[in-house]
Amino acid sequence: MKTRQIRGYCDRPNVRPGEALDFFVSSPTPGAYRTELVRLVHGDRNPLGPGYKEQAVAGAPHGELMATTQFTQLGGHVVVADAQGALAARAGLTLHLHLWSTLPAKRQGVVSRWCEAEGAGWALMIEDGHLVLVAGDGKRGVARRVTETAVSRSLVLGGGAHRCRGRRAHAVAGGDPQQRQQSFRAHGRSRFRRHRQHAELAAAPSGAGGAAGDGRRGERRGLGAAGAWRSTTASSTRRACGAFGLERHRLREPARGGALPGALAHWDFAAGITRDGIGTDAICDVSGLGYHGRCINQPDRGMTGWNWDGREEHFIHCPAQYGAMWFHEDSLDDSRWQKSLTLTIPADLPSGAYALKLVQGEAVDRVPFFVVPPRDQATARIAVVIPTFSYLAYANSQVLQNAATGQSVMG
Amino acid sequence: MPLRNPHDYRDKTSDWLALFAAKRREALAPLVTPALLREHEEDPRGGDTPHSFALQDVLNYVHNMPTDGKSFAYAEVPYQRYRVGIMRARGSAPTLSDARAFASEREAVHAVFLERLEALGLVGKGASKA
Repeated sequence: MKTRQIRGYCDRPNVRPGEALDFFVSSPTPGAYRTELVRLVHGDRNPLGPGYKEQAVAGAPHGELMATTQFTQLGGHVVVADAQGALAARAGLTLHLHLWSTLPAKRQGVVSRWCEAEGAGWALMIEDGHLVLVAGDGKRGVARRVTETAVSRSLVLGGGAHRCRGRRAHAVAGGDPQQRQQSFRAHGRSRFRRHRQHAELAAAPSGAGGAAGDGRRGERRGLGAAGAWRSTTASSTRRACGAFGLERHRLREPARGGALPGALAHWDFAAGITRDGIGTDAICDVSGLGYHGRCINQPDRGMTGWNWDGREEHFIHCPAQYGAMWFHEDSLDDSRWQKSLTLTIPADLPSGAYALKLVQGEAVDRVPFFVVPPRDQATARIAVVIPTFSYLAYANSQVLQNAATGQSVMG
Repeated sequence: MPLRNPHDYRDKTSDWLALFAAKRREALAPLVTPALLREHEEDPRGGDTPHSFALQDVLNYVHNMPTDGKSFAYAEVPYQRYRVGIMRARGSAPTLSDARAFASEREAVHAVFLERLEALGLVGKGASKA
């Protein structure tokens, strides 16, 4: 069965004559490929109709470029830049978070500063229904500690402390956890109180060099969640990454609101909620140290937090109780490939449907886009409305392929 | 009992799905007649005239089969050559069922229909290859 070879996309669906349009191209096959600007006349290959028709645009620039293989990172996550390596926490750290895993059996990162290529850093993960603390020094190998704390779809895990210190790293899983049945209004403690586990790890974490991960394969530097390992986590109201040895009462301080004193960083997912909603991808570090994060692939924000008491039903009215985010394993808002070329649309190009044709050997792809008239200038007697929002929405729809309901209707 | 391991919690819906599937197959078996197969072969989409109620019932059920391992019509060369493909688990490439090739989408869709009925035991073994 054939698989897609060379392929690409452009940075927006509409462009005016004289404007520049960026293209992003990937191919699993190395070698040169040719580009050509074509006007799309008829796309349906049904032999009962006129068949496929396109016209090369005379005078448009043609090019030949070398193909590269580009990678798309699926899944929502947050990336935090850490160029100085302070979050590598070589002297140890304590993690404090609230977590509700909706896919506990899937391997996924929760909080990490990890470089897969070097095997260096630290990561708190979920594997096979349990929290796993991973530390790697980049030399002697990777140490893993599977905790007894089970995560499940029906529980919110809160207040867990996960520590590692120096070469003699320890994992303390679920230190003073406050696990509660999800959607319970009461603040009742569950039967999970006091789950502590101390164990030595064979390696201490070392800092992977460089800046925060940019979503490329094998680079997970900086702090991320869920999507870095392509899995889903419904994750926490707050995440604190603090110095080792914080007293338990201080770990509870984020639950009462406000920043955690002495923390390396403290991400409050509710901090970006305003009366007008959440208008940016920014994640605020309320510690004052400036480790602000950026959402990748649009995780859902304004979710009911671990402390939601059911009295307020709109997240803008009570941000403190809506500090949770939901990370989906398959969400995608931008492939974030490296730019391959920029095409300047000829100034006299008539409006219509066009494509940049990519030809590599036998493989062909056409990246479609629409040329619209110059601003405030009608160039034809008939206006055609192209539903580009619908195209984008359905291009990213996975309902038919993956949902049982879609299959039952059309499968 | 303390909650310790999510794997301890079995998804009990599968018990009822198995019972539902068995009852549906039992109810649908008498509907699968040579006339119904002929109706599907002539117009798999029901685009010219609406399908009979019997065929609608059968199609509703076969559409709902699990995605992994489900057969589908694959356009190897659109409008020229069609094959029977098998969907695999998410993230895995589909495979081809066999070497058969069909000249039209209609023939391929009917072959897929027969394959699914055979998998459900609603037609005899080998009926889809006959």
